[in-house]
Amino acid sequence: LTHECRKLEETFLHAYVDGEFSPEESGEVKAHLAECPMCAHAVRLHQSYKAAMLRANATAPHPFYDDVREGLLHEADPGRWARAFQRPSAIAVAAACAGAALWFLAGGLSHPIFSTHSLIEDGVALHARALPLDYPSSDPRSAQQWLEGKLDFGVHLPRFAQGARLQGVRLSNVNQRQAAVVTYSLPQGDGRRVSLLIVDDPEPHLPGAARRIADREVWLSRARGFNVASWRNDEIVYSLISDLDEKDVLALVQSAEMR
Amino acid sequence: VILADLQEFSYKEIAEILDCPVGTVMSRLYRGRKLLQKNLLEYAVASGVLQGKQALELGAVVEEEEAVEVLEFKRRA
Repeated sequence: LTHECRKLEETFLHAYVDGEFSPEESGEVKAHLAECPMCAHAVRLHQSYKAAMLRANATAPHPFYDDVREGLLHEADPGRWARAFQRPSAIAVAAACAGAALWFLAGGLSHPIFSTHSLIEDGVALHARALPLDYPSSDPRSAQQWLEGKLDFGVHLPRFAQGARLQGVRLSNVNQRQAAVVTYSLPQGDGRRVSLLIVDDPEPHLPGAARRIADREVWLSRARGFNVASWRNDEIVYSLISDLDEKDVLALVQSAEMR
Repeated sequence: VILADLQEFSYKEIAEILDCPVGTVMSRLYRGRKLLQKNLLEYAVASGVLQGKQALELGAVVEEEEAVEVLEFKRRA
């Protein structure tokens, strides 16, 4: 790898394989990969590494995470950094490094990861990736109870009339805020998946076109092929994300009972 | 590495969990992965999973990367 490509590997290729880029950004990386066999090789290596990690994870005992975390806590000496920073030279070096890092991040490259994502884009990304659930449950009441105390805001899990079945809940973050992603499956289309993103977003304007549905102001928008319908209930924003047609999304929203 | 590769959190989520900037997540993740790969290679050679030419080739890649890293570090210092 050339020096430039090494930098690229560190900052971009891992992020590319890790799925951190938007389609346009991925397109730029792909264009480079097409003409740089070195980077293309690095990407293949990283992909096979990630796949191997997931395979290993499928068979590894789960308390393993806790053991590692414990080990790290014991290994890290909390006084180490404090002592290091008592030496003036260390402070100067640290300051220089921090300065260099700041320059690199601010001017050296306009990093796509630092661009602000809207609520919708983050929500769609969460929906598209279908991450494992923290609390799998088909019972809305127990899911609601599980969520209470996990979030710093109150939620009401809506009930949908159209036979949407609750699958479970996952905790997440959107725009640096706590969020819950509630997953449902629909009877139509072989259990099609619908995500309900719940986040305490103080931004007064929700994205999209406003409609009045069942006494609620609902905003409709599209992102990456998904339809998103957002509404507010007790200050909290609820966004229904799916690949359903707009008509079906509206019917689902209409049937939502917020109690 | 656990958060990213096993639990499949996004960089942003990891930054939240560890309470550090996304840039820090990226650089630590990069270093952690390289370190893990180096240790796994050593383990694979020591336990006989990898032998002969294959081990030498992979070892050479790791060593070359380390050499570049050392050069890089000297250049910056």
